[in-house]
Amino acid sequence: MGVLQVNVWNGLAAHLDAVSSFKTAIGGRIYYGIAPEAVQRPYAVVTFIDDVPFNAFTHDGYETRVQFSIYGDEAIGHRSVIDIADKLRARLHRVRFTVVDHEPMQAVFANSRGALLEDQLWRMDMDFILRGFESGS
Amino acid sequence: MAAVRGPDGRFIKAGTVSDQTAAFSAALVKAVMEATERQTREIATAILRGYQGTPGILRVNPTRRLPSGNRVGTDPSAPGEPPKQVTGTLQRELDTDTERQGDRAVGRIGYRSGSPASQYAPALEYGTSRMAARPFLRPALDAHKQDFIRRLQRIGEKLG
Repeated sequence: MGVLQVNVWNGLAAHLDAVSSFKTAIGGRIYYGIAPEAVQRPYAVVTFIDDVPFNAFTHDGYETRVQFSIYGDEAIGHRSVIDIADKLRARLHRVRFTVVDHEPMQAVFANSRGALLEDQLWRMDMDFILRGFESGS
Repeated sequence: MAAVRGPDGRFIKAGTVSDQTAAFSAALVKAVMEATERQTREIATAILRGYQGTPGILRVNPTRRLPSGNRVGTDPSAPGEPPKQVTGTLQRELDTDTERQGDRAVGRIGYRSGSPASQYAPALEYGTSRMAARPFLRPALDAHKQDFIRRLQRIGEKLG
């Protein structure tokens, strides 16, 4: 991860660490890249899918796509996994969060996948586009 | 009663003024749909070729699209990097498809169900509970998004 990506991740993590129904539902278990083995369910895994500089209208900016994967076991059930994903969407969609050394970024819901059963775990993915503008642009 | 030319240059059949207006707007919608469908297909092909290693994706962001150095080999790709080429199946079987859904043209880039690559491509693109993702399709799509928007704007300007 580059410096900007680390700062974006820290900003996003701080936003998600504040009290919310999503944080309560997930038990605060949000991991980057991959979860530890035998972690308690449900939990969420976050992955940066892309980081591209973009040129929209007259602004030079930065945007990146992040994938959230919500995992729950069969006892939790797919409805609960979908419910947690909905809480995440409510927590992030069209929300601005602060990023160190950068203009605030806004998260916009992009698409979802699931819930699907994978290795005896229910899983639902949600992508968000995070977009911000460079200082001074 | 003067005949009205549709966007394709052909005369729309004579009728009452309101018939002609309806026929013209229907022809316009059809022209936009066909242009959009063609552009969607072109973009899908560009993304496909970009991933397959011809210029396109590489031009957009060379450091991110493919790992520098060893892109080929059996040692595993790092999390977050696109998958390395081992047998080439993932690249060879990537395919595009375009279809109309009502008033939308929908382009798809992916693997036909039943193809060997379709068995493991989703695990690489999205990751699993035991393996971090190695996304390669969505980064290519995102890299072409502005190009797609510009092409659609040009269609609008031509018709406008």
